[in-house]
Amino acid sequence: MTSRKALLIGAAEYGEGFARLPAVRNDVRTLAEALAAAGYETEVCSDDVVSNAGQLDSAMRSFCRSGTADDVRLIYFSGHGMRLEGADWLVPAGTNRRDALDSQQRRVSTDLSTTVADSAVGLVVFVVDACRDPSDAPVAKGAAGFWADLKRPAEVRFVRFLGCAPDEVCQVIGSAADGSAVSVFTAALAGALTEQGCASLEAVRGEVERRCAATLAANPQLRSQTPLLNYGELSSAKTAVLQRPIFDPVGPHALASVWEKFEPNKLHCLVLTSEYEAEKAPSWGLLELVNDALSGETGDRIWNTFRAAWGGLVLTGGTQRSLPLAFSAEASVQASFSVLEAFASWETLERAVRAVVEADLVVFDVTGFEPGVMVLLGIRAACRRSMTICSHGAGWREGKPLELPFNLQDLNINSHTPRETRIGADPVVERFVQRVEIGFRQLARHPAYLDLPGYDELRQLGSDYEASKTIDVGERVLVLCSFRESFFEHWQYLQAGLKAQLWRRNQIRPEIERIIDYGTPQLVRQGLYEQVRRGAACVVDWSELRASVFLELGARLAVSEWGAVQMIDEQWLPGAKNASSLAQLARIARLFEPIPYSLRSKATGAFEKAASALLDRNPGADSDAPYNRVHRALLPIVGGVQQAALPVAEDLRRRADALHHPGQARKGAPQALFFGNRATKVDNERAALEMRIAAWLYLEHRIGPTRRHADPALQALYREVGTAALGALYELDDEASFALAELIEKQIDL
Amino acid sequence: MISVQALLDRIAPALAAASVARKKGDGRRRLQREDDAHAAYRDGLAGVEAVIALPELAAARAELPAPPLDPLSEAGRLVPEVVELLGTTGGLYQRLGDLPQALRSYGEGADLETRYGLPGTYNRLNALKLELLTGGRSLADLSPRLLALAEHIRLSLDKDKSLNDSGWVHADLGDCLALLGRTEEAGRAYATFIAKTELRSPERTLDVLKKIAKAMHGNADADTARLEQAIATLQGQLGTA
Repeated sequence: MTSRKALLIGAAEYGEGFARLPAVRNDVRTLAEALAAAGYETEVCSDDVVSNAGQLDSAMRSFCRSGTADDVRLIYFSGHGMRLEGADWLVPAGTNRRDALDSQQRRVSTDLSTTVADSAVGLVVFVVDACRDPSDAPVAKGAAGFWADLKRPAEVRFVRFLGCAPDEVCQVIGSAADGSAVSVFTAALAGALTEQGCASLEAVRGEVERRCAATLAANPQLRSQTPLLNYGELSSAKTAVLQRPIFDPVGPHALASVWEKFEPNKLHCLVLTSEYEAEKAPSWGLLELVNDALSGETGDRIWNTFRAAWGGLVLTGGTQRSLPLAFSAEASVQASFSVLEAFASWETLERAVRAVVEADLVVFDVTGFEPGVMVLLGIRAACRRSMTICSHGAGWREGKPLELPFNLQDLNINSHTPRETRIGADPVVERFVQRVEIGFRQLARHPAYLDLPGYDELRQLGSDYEASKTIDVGERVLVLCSFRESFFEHWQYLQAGLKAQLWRRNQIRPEIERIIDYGTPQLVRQGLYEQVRRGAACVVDWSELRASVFLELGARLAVSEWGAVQMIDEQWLPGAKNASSLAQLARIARLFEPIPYSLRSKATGAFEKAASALLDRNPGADSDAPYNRVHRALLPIVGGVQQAALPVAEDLRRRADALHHPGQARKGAPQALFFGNRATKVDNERAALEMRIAAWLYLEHRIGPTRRHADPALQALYREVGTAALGALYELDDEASFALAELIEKQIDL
Repeated sequence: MISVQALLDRIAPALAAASVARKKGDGRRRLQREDDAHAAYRDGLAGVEAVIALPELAAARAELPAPPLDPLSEAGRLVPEVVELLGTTGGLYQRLGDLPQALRSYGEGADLETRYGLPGTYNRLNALKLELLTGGRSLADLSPRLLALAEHIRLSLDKDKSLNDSGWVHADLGDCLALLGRTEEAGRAYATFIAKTELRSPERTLDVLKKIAKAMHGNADADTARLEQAIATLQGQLGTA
């Protein structure tokens, strides 16, 4: 798999003769976020290294050599540069001008072409944002020839991307989110990387040029600045490099471990890792835990309980899951990906969603309850009744306090914090295996087994013909948002803004409510998921980045063809004041495009846009609408993995047994709760008997002897329900019951 | 050599069919259709006796291990089913009025229950009841064994709380206590039995007690009046008169 890594170097403080560069820190942070969203692992060079020419040169060259032929390495430098003795140099932090001019040991070459030529790495891109102050002109600005003359001009694997053309300077403006200085070039580059379709160096250069030109046009005090690519000799190979997609969020092998097609006769296991785990990369983490659990004797144990739960069941498409007796590598398919990969693009998200829904066993890393993980968890919760393990690491262990999101209060969380000693069997693995085993056993036994909220609430709306009716936007707008006190002002602002714009647009006054505003004693969870399913109008406010909100968003996107209108206080947008450090948010935002608003602002644009989205959506007529893309992606998937409705006779048999099992009198406790109440027991036994009679009559008359005799399971069921029914019928002292019992007895040939 | 699983697969349907036959016969008997009742009991009996007569089952029984019994072993799975089979056979013989044969079956079942310390007491208790029915022993003679059986049930219930799920354990306890004259305790045991078992079951067990009382009356057993009083009290308590 291709690896993409970026080394970011920021030199802000200098010695005598060089100006301070206050924009550098902003530049590094901004570009790091953009590169992370474009699929790069980012590393910021430490201040110690940035201020030491020898160490900086060594770090850069070592970084260039660290990859293989498929890999991309990007180095970004923001600071002062200079050209001396026919070569181009970077000036390390802390250096004064005199030293930089006098000694090669106090400056660093920008020409890495020889290092790249000697390495196996696929491509090195060196982004240089230097010479940003005219006062440095004698040594730093882009004088003619400044960036020319590579030692290996024919080396196709080395490309420099420069912030300005010869005779120009790299400039700064005060346009960062907090108003502080930011480089024109870096801001344009970061913006370009978030543009859909800007995947190659060539495309990015064009977009950066366009953005720089727009900034210059809006700021007449700035001088001309034209970013350019510098790559030595042009060749067809070089052209191919410039056109290679290296900034698409995830490369062509994205989510490569995910199965192409669900195979009913295999166990599909998926591990979704968090950004926390991806960043911290522990030597033994969730992936290792699941791998250990699925190997050897513990793998057999998991397989046996999985097989007991799913073996022989018929899926909605009519396929029967025929699972082999013994566990083997061929009997299972395992996949894993990180939340960052999942939200890299619509294509990866669709692939991720498919895997999340199809997998028989999904292990979610809920460490930190990250937004992207919560969205996928919400999708899983809405779509699949099977085995889901939510696991938390980062030092947390089972039994210790853990603050759970509002919607996940009754979740039973696993811990994948590694054990403390290496002696004996691993208790972390054993606990995990036991959890899966018990879960599959419960799934096999319990028709309404749940390990996540929402599945039944989304489906069991009642039998009234209006029970599933769509709630019109004119009636109610459901708002999914934080319930914290700190959000209350947002809530009021949001409610007022939406109300005003819906009235202005269509003269409608719907109830704009959070689920806790509904005047009902119904449990919040039950009411929430019903509204999530039925409401045509749903607004999701991301502000405060609450895990519950993202879980609900996932469920909503999964089940509703109306999608969700997503909004966010701009202070919570990636890169803004309250922004999270999670790179996944930039990716999720890029896909779902939440409408930003500014709290307390009198501007109405955000709410106009939201109101239009609520009013204009028409899923019946809109083709390929982005707002219901997740839902549409799920439609072909859910049918292939859900258990088909039970054949009616089997369904009746199970329901009867659940009321009063034939073996109960001999061995088990009565199924009826409050069996000490005679009326309750009488009612259960009566209902069970009638269900068995109905099942038997169905098998007798609807299925008939020919089909029954051809199917041993049907014939066994026929005898089973018949035997149980006639035993009860013989205890009713009326001739009609007795006659029916004798008929059944004769037919089943007891 | 037939496997234990194959034997269990033969026993289960035979027990189910015998249960149906017993209910069918009881239903006919309630309507005074004694011939039909006998026919039903005989049908059920034929099924269970056919299984008991299997040479493979006889061989397996001959090779049963010494106690204690591992409940997960093959023998551990087979013994309780054989005990059930013998109890069912005894019950059908008893309904047909063939008390010696019933006693023989209960006796075999009781031996297994005792040998392996099984928590179930159905065969042991019914063997005692038959001795009262046939007039072989007086209630006073049997009281120590009834007391021991009641204690065994209580200990079993204390040892394994899941045994409380079974209504029939409480029925046996109630029978022992009723025969011992401990009417109030018997009433509590029967109340639990009624709550946990099928609707018709309490009638059947009290019917047997009535027959015992009748037999004791015929034998001029000194404790007859006490048992009759206990039955009347229980019927009043349980609403099954």
